[in-house]
Amino acid sequence: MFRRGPSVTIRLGLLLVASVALMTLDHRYQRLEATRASLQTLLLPVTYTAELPGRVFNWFGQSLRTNQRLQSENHDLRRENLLLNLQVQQYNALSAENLRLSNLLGSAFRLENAQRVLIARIMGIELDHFSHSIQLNKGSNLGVYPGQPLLNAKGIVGQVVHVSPFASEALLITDPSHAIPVKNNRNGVTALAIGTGQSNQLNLPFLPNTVDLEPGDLLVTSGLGGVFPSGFPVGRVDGVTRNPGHPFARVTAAPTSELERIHEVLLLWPEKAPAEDPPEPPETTGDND
Amino acid sequence: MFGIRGNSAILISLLAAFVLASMPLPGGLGPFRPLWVPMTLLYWCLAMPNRVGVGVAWSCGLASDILHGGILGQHALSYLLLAYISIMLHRQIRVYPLIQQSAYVLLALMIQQMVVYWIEGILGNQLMVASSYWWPTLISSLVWAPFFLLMRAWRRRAQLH
Repeated sequence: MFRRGPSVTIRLGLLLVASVALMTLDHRYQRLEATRASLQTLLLPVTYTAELPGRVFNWFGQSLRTNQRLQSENHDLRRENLLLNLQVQQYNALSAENLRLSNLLGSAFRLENAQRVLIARIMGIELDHFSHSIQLNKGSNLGVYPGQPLLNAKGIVGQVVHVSPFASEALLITDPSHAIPVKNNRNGVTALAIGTGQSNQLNLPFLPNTVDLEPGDLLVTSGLGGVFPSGFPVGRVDGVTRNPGHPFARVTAAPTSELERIHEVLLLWPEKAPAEDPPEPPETTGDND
Repeated sequence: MFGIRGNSAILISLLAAFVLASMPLPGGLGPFRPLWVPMTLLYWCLAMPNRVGVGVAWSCGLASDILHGGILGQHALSYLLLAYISIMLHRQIRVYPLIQQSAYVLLALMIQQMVVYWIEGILGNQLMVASSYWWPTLISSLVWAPFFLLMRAWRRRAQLH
């Protein structure tokens, strides 16, 4: 045991160097995607085992439901479906009209339709102060790609960052390192919504004190940046503090997608329209309001 | 009973720690989860420093980085330092009473968490850190005594001396 003394220190030194090298490679050069993907696949059994109790619990909960409850649930769902269908009818008419009007105006704005969606189950959620990420059970074998937008019924959830063959990892919009371009649905004021590390808050920095944003305003994706398709709800402004002594207003928003209690998300393949993209930049002038 | 001996017992305990660490918790319990993987590493580094050393700690850190997202090498570095300090001090800490050991665990895990925090700072991530960042560390230290007894029973059953 005694002769191991110096060798521990040497190994410490070697591994310290290795850690720093790994971090540099990962952060500066993003060279480790393949390594990450293979290690993630290797660790898949751990992830699956970890989510097993929750699934068993859910399964019991579902199978122990009474017939009456199922019937009432079915009834509710049918009603909801009817209402949604009604709205879709209007949507089709509206979207056609929108297209015609924007053609008349020569505007480049298009409502982007999802080409393909896929439901992914969340296998693990990491909500600590540094990272808000989730593990999904769909990977590159189904065409999931880094940068892919993630939604649920209420709005934008986040985007995929790492992909391995059978699983992937996504950042939530509340991750401190995540930013999403948004615009105010009421008047088109554009901004960036940056995660805060708290699952009920987004920050909108660098907005002038005169900015036209009020609590209750809905923020939707602006489509700038090309990652998220435009027009999906992101958050609702819940606080605007204007202090004349500060150059910028302090604006916060709450995500609409209730990130604390999501179980499933939709992976979205936005329609690719490369020819449509270049005319977009003039839209950014809305920022100076 | 199951004939689990030697290194496989260590491996199983570490795998169990990883599963516990990545299991989704109901309600708002997530932020209060003890640091299972560092605690398990700490136990083995104190009890069997000739079997579980800096190499194992580093590999576990890498696995943590993969499982919990974030930059590769971050947890690896913090677990490495945790293991190193514990191996250097294991002769003293082993003879401490459990209460004193818990105090050491608090200190060691705080160092480990601090390293993670520093790396995040170097990467330039905006942090809104509340005091809740330290809850897992404190709770790990509070549950150390029962955890230690459980692990010792597991080690003895696996006939690791």
